[in-house]
Amino acid sequence: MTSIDLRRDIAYVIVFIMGIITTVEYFVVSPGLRSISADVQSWATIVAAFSLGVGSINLLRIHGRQVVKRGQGYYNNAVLLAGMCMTIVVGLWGTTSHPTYQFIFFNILYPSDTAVWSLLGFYIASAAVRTLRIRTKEGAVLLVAGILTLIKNSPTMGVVWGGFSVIGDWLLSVPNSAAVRGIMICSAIGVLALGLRVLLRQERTSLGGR
Amino acid sequence: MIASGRIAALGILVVGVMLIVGVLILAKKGKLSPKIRKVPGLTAIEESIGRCTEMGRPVHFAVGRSSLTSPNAAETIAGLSLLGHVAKLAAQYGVELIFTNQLPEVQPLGEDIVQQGFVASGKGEQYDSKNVRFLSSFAMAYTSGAIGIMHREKIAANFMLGGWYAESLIMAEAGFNQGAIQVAGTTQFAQLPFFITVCDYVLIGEELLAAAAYVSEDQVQLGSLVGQDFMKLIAIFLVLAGALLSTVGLSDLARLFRL
Repeated sequence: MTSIDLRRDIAYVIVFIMGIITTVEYFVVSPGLRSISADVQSWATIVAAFSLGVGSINLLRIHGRQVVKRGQGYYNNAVLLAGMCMTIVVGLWGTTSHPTYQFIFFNILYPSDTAVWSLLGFYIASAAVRTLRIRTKEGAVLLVAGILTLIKNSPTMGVVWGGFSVIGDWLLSVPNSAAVRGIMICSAIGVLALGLRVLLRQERTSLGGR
Repeated sequence: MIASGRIAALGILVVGVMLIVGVLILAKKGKLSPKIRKVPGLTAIEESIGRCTEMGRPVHFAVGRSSLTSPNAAETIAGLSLLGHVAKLAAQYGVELIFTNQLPEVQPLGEDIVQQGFVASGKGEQYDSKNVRFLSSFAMAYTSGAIGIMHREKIAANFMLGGWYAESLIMAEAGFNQGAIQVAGTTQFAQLPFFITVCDYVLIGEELLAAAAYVSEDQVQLGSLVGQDFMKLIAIFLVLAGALLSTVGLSDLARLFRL
């Protein structure tokens, strides 16, 4: 057995024990078990937070190499690295409530984030146009259902005919809910089967096994 | 003592575990050789990678935003299993695989899985760690980084398999604009309409979760899918019985399963 195999075996044992603890804690009323489960979940969060360092190292390695080699658009990589290093230094030195950190967050990161979010509106419009083209019978049903739901949600159409609201509500609460619940029930069963495959070590790829 | 309101869920869990483990044991002993229907989205994975070889362009893979510490971790685990499969195929076909990531805890796993995929195909020396890229843990910063990569690297296939949220449509549209073959999958039903609109193949809900077993062609893993089908039969029976009983005014069954 190689050291990598041994490391993976240890990881599987940890996954199995932690999986059993958190599952049993959900069903059994036991303050002791609840406290252990809360600790386990805190450890998971702490380990996940440490992995942010791994991500930062990956960014440094990939973008640093590009800057050193003066590859195409290397100045973009340099800006990214400078921004990252500056934010880390300010955050560590003056905490996240420091005015410089707040400036970076609210005047650079937040508006950039919001700008990308706003693209979604345009993409939804173009996706809607593509969806509502009738190519099949199912497409025609989707078009009719989509238009009725749009009419139901528009403020003026309810005045024209009250039936739009009744039909729209029925579409959302009956066929739509049935489909969503079908997906949810099947997904829940799928999660159970996948969890068992992982816990019983039948499904190995997700922890890096062959 | 069992927590109140969770007895029925515990019962279902116990029955489910017994069924799936029972079927796994039967499959391990060789007493069960399940036949699985073809899932077009999964058979399209190899075709897409073949197309990348013909075009000499890379494959892009991403697992989305469901953290491994969140209740939706199963989607990410399923995506990572498929990453291993795609890495093996990419190595076999000699295609560049770019894995972009927004979950820090997935980064070491992603590096390991892609490397193992190349090693398993006997092409470990072709693994390039710079193609497993952590972009940002901010969803939209990640999204803009990923769509930039998709455009610059001129990807020919895009796999978005895992837990996807608001960024799903922006990324899938970027792949569509590149003319890439797109295979997406998630259990987030709010994102499924976007994927169905923009992508060529979509793995809906449990298809994603079963995908790793499907592509492994391992009889034991496939056996668990048979257990899943038995569970679905039980669920269908309970839904029908609950609907009938509620219709005649008996809501005890519905009340039993209310969380």
